[in-house]
Amino acid sequence: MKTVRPDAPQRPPTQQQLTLKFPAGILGFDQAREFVLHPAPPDSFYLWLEIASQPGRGFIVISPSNCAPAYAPDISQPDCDFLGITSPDDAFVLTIVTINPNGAATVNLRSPLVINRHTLKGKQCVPANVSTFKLQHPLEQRPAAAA
Amino acid sequence: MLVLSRKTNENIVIDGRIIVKVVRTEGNLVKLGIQAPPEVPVHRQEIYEEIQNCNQAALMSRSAVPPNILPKQ
Repeated sequence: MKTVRPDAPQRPPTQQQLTLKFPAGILGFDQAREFVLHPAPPDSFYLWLEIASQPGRGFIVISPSNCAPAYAPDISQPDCDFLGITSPDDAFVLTIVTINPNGAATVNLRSPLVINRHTLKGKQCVPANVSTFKLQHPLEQRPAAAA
Repeated sequence: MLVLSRKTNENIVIDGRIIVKVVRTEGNLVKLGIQAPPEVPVHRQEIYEEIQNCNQAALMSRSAVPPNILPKQ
């Protein structure tokens, strides 16, 4: 199995609202085929990914470039083919944030959302080097956006 | 659960469109090849369950997002 490694987790376009298509849904949410990625607020790198069919419900997400700069998931060739990506520049990556009952935030680096930035087709991928990443990578509560 | 015995290089067909092939056996280890339509997720069970649980724990309402993460609407 050939793997394509995005050398730098590519930044998402965050200035405008985007509709992302996930033909396979995400794990545990097979029917969530469409998501709305809301524009980034001025002081935070966190983003809101809304389930289109469940307005007001969704996920806090963050680009790994803003919280885990060395993150290098090996995305499999079948996943790259599914998404139509042939180079790292074709994709951007979002990772899902969990807020625990005690208020601490962690991010899932084991199963990133990889999105083709041209077609906005996405998939939750399990990278070949999954065991080197944490399911609950600790986050600072509020990574401050660059001035 | 349907239990079938297969030798190396023999296949199983699921739903007429998913093929599971025994690629190699080495002692306790079985190497399986899975051919499925691209929209069908295929994962090791323990990985599938941990991701599913993590996604479910992460799902929330916009109104419940703490204000130090995203501004209140």
